[in-house]
Amino acid sequence: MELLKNLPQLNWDNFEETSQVTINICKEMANKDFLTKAIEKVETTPELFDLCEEHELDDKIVIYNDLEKGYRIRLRLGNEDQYERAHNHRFPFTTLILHGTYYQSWYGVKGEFNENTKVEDVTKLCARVEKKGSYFTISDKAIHSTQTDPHTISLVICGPPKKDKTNIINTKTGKVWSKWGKKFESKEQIKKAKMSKERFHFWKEKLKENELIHSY
Amino acid sequence: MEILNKTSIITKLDALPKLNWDNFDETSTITQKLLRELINDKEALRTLVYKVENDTKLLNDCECHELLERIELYNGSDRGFRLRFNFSTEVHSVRPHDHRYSFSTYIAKGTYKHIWYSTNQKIYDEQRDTVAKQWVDKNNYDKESDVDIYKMDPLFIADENKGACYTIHHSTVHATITEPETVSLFLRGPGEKVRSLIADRETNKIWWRYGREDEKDKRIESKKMTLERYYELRGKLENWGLI
Repeated sequence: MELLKNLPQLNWDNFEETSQVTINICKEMANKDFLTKAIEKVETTPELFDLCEEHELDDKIVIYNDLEKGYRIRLRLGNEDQYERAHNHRFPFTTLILHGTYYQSWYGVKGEFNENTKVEDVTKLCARVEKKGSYFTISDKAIHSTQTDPHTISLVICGPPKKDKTNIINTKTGKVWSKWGKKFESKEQIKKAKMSKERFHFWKEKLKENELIHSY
Repeated sequence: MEILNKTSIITKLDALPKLNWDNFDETSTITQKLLRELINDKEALRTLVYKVENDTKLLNDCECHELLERIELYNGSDRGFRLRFNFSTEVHSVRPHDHRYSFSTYIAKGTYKHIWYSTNQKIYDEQRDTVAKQWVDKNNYDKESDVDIYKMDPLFIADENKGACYTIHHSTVHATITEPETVSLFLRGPGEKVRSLIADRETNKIWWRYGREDEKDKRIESKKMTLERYYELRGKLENWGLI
């Protein structure tokens, strides 16, 4: 875990430089010894375990949290259900795919992307297939979607939030909604998203199965 | 078997129905699958590359630019596509640009840094389509354009390594900062606008790229690939084991 102790301060306003730094950190972290220790630490550290979440399309295991320094590092764990939803993020992030495949699209939106955005305002700008070992950095201003193969696992370094909510549009049905940061969510919403011990162990087994952490 | 295989993929290109680039999802799926099939069929690619030598039309469409050279492999313009090998040169510069056409690409060798930009400004003024024709390279750049590179924000950065494959819409503004001798198999759709943007970040100079029908003869001639250069690049493709 020396790697976590020696992390440099990040400046996400310098997007290109921080992209390079965080891609290199992701590459260093993408090894069995580090990930095994990181998962063990989450299990024994309530502050980290409390940040782990379950959602409709993907779950999150937070392995390190120091937003002042510019980091929330987590594993993004893709569930089986996937559908195309164009969205932005509250924060910029870098990701490295550890297992599985991303089918990523980029979008351009006519006018401001908000609750009034219609499907016809959205143009697909790029369709990409990203396999294990691929990595990228994306700005909070980008509008994209990432559908994944079932149980695709990636390492993500998120920067501090730049806005309070994200916007999401289902590109088939046109339904638009927002997702607010945790500090704006109700106790019920936060409780509902918390990862259960069972779900954590399910993912731990998946990590072992895919040779991402040691089996002992 | 070899002959059968060779025939089958080229027959497939000959039989490819007209692509509908307005259906981005469908066309990206079809063209990416085709590029993957082609890249794995070195015999077919070899046949296509060798055919260029004796095909005046294809040879005529091979070009050498400052950052990129290309060998035109197949012209399916009647069905909405053209197939090429693109080769990066030794010159590398961060040049946000868009294209006149949408395209799919497969990175066959090498790597490049890929940046997608938000332009944060209007790029095209149709009233300037004609006057801008004279501003087509870094020495003849568009001094009257309002486009400001420094207003653009990078939205996405990735290294595109060998095996990466994507389809991009003509309106996307992006930059590809290549390593020398990076090679892509590239399938473009029809031109969808009169001109496309080239912006040089180092100098904040803007110029434009037009289709051949709008280019001056002198420029067209200066960009044409010589037969000698075609032989050199063909030899490289062989040495790299791509054909």
